[in-house]
Amino acid sequence: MAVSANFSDYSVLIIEDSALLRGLLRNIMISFKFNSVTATPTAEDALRWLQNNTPDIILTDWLLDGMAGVDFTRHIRMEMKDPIRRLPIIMCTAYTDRDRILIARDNGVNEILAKPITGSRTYDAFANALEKPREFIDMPTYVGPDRRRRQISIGFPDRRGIRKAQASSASTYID
Amino acid sequence: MSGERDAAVALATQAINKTAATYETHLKDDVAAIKSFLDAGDIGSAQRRTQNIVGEAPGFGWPAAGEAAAVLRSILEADEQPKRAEATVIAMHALAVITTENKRTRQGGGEKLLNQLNMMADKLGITA
Repeated sequence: MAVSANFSDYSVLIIEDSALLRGLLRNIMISFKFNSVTATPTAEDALRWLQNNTPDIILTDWLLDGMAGVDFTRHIRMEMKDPIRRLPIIMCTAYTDRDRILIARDNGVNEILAKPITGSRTYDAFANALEKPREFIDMPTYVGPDRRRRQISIGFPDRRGIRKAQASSASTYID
Repeated sequence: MSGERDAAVALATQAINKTAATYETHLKDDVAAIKSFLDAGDIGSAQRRTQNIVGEAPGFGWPAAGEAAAVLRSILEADEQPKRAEATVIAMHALAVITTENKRTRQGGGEKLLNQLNMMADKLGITA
């Protein structure tokens, strides 16, 4: 079921190297009534901007001049501090083969937006990322939204919480 | 709330359609510019315009042009001049056919052309 959202509470950062697409994405965000829209052509520019600004969500293209969108996402998740590292990130790409989707997912991307983009798919990607956020996982090997979207009964107690608690108490002990 | 969603989506769709309608002209301009840059020996500018097509064409319903441009980009990055010259002519021809004959996708007429282009690139040891 489609999720609706009031985007006027949110600000967005767009990273897209094509001036044509950057302009289009900016217009789309304005039509969604985001309260602030910032667009940069490179991930490096975005990282500089993020030193002094915190948007509510980031939309990045995969293929960029310089640092690729997926490397940018990994950098945000693994190298940046809260709240930046927890920001929802939407990856826009024309290449939606399974391998690429898995790479994006495993680097902490929240949503994939396939090109050619449509108004409804773009809206739904933003609404899902902002209004239906998945649990944020912060582990040594993975940082990002919970990679499982479906809740499936496994027929026995979920032990991951226990492991997480053990990891946290271990780190407290070491500190 | 659903009404608001519909209104926002309609406005976004309008913006997308408006840009997509003009993209064909934009794409043909890019192809013509690449040809001029290549004729003038300005490989750097040709590479930048090729990169534009790779990034933009799939987003506006021209994935075949994006794929052909990706092959051309790899050719232009190849070091060996003779290999590059021969392959560039073939890739430029493919791009010209795709844009003038409206072969927007593999399914929409671009399949054979792109397969030939990729085979040629493979033969020359160029990977897109």
